[in-house]
Amino acid sequence: MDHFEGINFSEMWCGIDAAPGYMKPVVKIATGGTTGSSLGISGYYNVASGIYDKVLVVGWEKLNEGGATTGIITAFDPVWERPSLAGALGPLALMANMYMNEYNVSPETAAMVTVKNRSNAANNPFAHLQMPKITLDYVMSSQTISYPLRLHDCCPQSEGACAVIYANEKEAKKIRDNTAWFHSVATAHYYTFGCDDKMYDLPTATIASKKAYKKAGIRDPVKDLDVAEVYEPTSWAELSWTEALGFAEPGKGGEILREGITQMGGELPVNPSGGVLSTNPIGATALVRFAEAAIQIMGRGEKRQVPDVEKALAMGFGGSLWTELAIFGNEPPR
Amino acid sequence: MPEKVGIVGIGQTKFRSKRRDVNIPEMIYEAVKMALDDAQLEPDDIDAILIGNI
Repeated sequence: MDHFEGINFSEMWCGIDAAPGYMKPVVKIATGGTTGSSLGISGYYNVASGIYDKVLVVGWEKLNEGGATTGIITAFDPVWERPSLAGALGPLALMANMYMNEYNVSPETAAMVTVKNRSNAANNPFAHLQMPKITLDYVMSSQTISYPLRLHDCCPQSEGACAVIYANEKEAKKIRDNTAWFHSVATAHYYTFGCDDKMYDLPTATIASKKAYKKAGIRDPVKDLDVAEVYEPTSWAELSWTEALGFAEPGKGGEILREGITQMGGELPVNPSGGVLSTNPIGATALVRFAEAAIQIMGRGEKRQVPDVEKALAMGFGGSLWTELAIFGNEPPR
Repeated sequence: MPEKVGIVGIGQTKFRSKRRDVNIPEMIYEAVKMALDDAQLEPDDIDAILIGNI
C-alpha cells in the first residue's frame, strides 16, 4: 500500500519484474497484518477452484522506504481510538494489560515466551534476530516502551520476502514426494470499534480454529497437531492466543509453556522458527508462518525440525483483531 | 469437489531491519528464485501470481 513503502503501485512492477508475471494474471492482496495469510489462503482458493494448476504466492515488506506507524494510525478513529489505540503498540499493550489483570499472569511468564522463541530462532538461519544466549533477566531488564510491554516483549521490524509455490495434486506429484498438503483454511475477519472490543482472548482465533479443526478432523489440537506456527506480535499475544486456539484453557497459556508443552521437544512445539518475535516483515510475516509449517511437514527444518510431523497449523493475525488459519498434512486430504 | 492443493516450493530471503543492499524487486526476486529452484520450475510454468505487502 502506498503509505507504507512510499512508492505508487509497487505491486504492479514487483509482480512483473521480480515475480514472473509478464503477460500473466497478477493479483495484489493487502489486508494489513493478515496480508501473508490472506495471500496464503487465496493461493489455496485459486488452485482448489481448478482454474490454475500452479500459482506463485509472494509476500514482502520494505518499510524503511515508507512509514508503517503513520499508515497504521490512519486506520483509527481520530477522537476515540487514536489517543490509546493508535499504531500497532497501543492495542497490543492494552490487550496485554487486560489479559494480565484478568488472569493474574506475571510479566515473567510473558518474558518466557520471548526466551523460548528467540532461542528457537537461533536454530533458523532465516530468522532476523539471532540471540542464542537470551535470558529471562535480559528480557525483563529491557526498557518498558508501552506498559506492560518491554522492548523484548515485542517483535522487530524486518525487511524481506517469502515466496511459496502451490500446485494441484497432479502437478504436485510430478514435483516432489514430500508436498505439504492443505487440509483446511479458515478466515475470521470482522470490524469492531476498538473501544468496544474485548481486547483479550482474541475471539476470531476461537471462531477460525473451530472451523479449521472441524474440517481437518482435529479433535484435540494439542494431541492431534504436531507443531504450530502462531502469529505472536508480542510475548503476551502468544500466551493469550494459544489459549484462543484451544491449546490451553483461558489464562493457562503460561502453564503449558512452563510444563514444556509448547517448547521444542514438547507435545506441541509453538514457533520452532522463532516466530514473529524474531522476524517480522509484515506483508510476508503470516506467509512465513505458512512456509515454516510446510517446512515442518516436509521434514526440511534441519536444526529447527520437530520429529515426525504429520499435521501443522499456521496462523495469521492483523487488521481489526482478525485471524486466518491453515492446517497442513503430510498426506493429501481425504 | 475442490482440487487438492499442496505447497511444493518455498523461498525466503534473509531478513534484516533494513535491506539497503537491494531494491524492492531485487529483494522479492531473491525469494522467488529460491522457490522456483526448490520446485525445479521455470517462470513459464507458473499460471498466476498473488503478491502483497501491508
